[in-house]
Amino acid sequence: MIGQQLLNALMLGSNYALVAIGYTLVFGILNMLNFAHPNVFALGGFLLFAGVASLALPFPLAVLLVIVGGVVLGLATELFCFRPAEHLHDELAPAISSVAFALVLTEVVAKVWGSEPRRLPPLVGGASFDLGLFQVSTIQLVILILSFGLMLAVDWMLYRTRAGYALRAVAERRDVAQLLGVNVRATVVLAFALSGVLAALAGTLLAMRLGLADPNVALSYGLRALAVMVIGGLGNVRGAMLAGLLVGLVDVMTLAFLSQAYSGVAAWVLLLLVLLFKPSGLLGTRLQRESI
Amino acid sequence: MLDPSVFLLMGVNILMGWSFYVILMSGQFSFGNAGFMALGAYTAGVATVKLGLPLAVGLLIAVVVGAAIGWLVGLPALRIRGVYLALATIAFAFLVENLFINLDYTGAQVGFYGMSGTTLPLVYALVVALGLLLLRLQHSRLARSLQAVRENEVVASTLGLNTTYLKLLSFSTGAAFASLAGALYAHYIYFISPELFGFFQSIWPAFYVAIGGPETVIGPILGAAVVTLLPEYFQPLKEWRLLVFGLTVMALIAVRPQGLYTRRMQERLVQGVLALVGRARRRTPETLVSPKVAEPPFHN
Amino acid sequence: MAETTTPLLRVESLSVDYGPIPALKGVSLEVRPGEVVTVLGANGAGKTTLLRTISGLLRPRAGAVRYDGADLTRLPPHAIAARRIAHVPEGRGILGRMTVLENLKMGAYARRDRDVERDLDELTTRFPILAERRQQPAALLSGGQQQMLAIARAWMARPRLMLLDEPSLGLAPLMVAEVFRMITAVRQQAAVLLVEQNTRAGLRIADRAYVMELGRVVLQGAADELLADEQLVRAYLGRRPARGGTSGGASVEAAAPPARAAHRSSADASAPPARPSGGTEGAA
Repeated sequence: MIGQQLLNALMLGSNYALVAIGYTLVFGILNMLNFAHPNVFALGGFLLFAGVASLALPFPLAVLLVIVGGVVLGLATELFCFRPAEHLHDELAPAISSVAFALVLTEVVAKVWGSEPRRLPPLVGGASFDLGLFQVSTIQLVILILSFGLMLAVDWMLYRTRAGYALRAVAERRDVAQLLGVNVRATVVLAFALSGVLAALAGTLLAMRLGLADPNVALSYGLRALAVMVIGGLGNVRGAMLAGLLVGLVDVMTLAFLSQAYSGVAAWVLLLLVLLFKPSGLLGTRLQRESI
Repeated sequence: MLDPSVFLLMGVNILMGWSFYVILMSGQFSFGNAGFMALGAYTAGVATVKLGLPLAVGLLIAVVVGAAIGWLVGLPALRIRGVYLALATIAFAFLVENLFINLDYTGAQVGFYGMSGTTLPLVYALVVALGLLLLRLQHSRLARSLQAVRENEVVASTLGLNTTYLKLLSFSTGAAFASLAGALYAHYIYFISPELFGFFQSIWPAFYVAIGGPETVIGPILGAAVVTLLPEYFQPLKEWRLLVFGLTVMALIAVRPQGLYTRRMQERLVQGVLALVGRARRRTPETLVSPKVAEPPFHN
Repeated sequence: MAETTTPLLRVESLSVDYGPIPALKGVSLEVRPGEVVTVLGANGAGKTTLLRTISGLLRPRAGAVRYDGADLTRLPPHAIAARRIAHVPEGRGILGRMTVLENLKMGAYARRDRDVERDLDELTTRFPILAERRQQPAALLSGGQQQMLAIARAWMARPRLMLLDEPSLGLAPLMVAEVFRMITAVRQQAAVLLVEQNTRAGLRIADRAYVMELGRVVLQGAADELLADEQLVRAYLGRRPARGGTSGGASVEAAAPPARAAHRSSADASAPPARPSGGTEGAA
């Protein structure tokens, strides 16, 4: 029983983490929130649905579709919402534009797939593995491997590749990064593309876990992931990962030991605690630039 | 032809836009003005329906309550900024909504009805009066002080400005605007319930200001006009309305991220008007600090 | 023997405004390969603006920046960095959240060759303080250590020209000496354009110097001549040369002469004699 809960916690937590990382990448670099992000997340589930149900693609190809979709949406967000205002030092206009984009995406989903959740066909074999304490189904295993694989990949990218160094440098001091030879525009574009892919894949993974693509996840999970980002520390990717897992754990525990009514509250309670005791976030430090 | 009620609602929206704008003037983002709107609506409603007071008194009470609660909320808000403040104000709006959902005295979730009395002339009389007041203040020392706080709070306080007072003033005034808007709105639609004042209601004012232009008093008017009227023109599109609306907003911001109406436009307009009127004397743009400081320190 | 070396860097009548305020008014100067050129001036003279325009962070209203003959004026900063011009900004520009090692690696960001590891080793051997703290976040270093890190990071780019903005700022005299020792080592690999308020240290290490005031070059010449005629310099800077340079002077002096002697003759022959100028002054 406990093992099952732990499994759920890991799946839920890693999901929050992936979405939160997407928020944090953009926030770290631009000091702004991308409100279309949760809608890309919801679309991830529907792109998977489109791939496997409508187009009858094999699972890996459907995932590829999701990845492409995520990149396109991320790039579109940068180009249409954030880039036009880059020469101004205004944070409001791009944020509002991204809210409008979120509205557009919500409508697109509703038009194409309707406003009710859509059931996914079985994706992988229904086999179950008995690990003594609990059972893991194939799909759960796939979800876990993909989720944690993604998180590790992001961490590897940030700390072991040139692009990752560029992202971190620009997030910290844009002018200094330029002097060191970093093409800031390209780095911003990369951050958005990455953020889009992570959101879309997270949406896919959630859809896989729930067995359906649900348009309502944008608002519910999406907002919670925002709280996760703040809990982890603004602009801090490892913080987002840690916070995501923590919130997932607390969420699952409250669901298991308290009633259904409290599900999803964990994020907000933890947010409140963090803001009271360590506003810079779990892994945030005093060095972190505060937004204006 | 457009329904006259649209214009009435536009007036309410203008007030809401100003509620966001006034708070923004001190550099604070408030995404919780729906909460003040709700407070104003219910307070005025209680005053007129339950206590039988005239509408004018109800409006006044709403404004006072709004300003007072705005001041109280503004106090903890002093210490937080940016994303954190945005989240906190969102939380505030949720709390207010929750309060009214559970408050049986005003009908809880079922709602509260009986308010009437708002007319188009009333709304626009208030809009014009307040608008003129805001315009008058635009070039005042107060406005410049607020701008100083907005640009850099630490520097502003070293310049001797009472940033605490300025921020609180800005916050509570914004709250008062939202309260008034809520009271007028309630007495127009006759029936209110907590869900009318949900989270999204807090976002719209930010839309008006972003689209219309955050630099002037006129900006939010334009923004409110655009956002209120556009969906009416999009009626023929039926179920594509919202989609097209979203795309239009994105396009407006992409093409004019500084807003439809900017400070520069305002200055040019003022110069143009003055020239027309025959006074050739040029008004130089008001600068933040006194001209002496803005001058280059060297005199080549 | 005087070699006619073409200038590595040539700034021609550069004018830069901050909004309505002119910060640079027709500034011209040049830096030749292997030289150390110092730009002196009081606060607000435009020295930092000059460096930021050269490295591309600012766009000039008029004038040009030429490097190896090519026009850099309209290029974005990262393109200029790719041409191996390394700018250490005012305040050092350390990436505090990244470790010392990561900062050094970022220095080599624009490089595509394989010798980065080797250079890293060489630097850390040469400056043990960097090796000791390699895994620490750079923000934990002291001011002087950060300055050395900043210069080392710029060095990692294998630049041909290094721009240094007030390296002695805020440092204790002993640290200033350390830092200038490092700059002396740098000059073997790269030409240096140095901006300083610490007149003495700035002049001691330089071959030639320019003095700026209110956005213009008002004085220029061989560094040792300017150093000798301190009265002239003081007249333009309106104050005594900084004390910090004095007490650290001995060690700076000891480090400087060998390099200076080698360039003395070419500096004499091709640099215009020190003279005051009220207007814009181009290099001869």
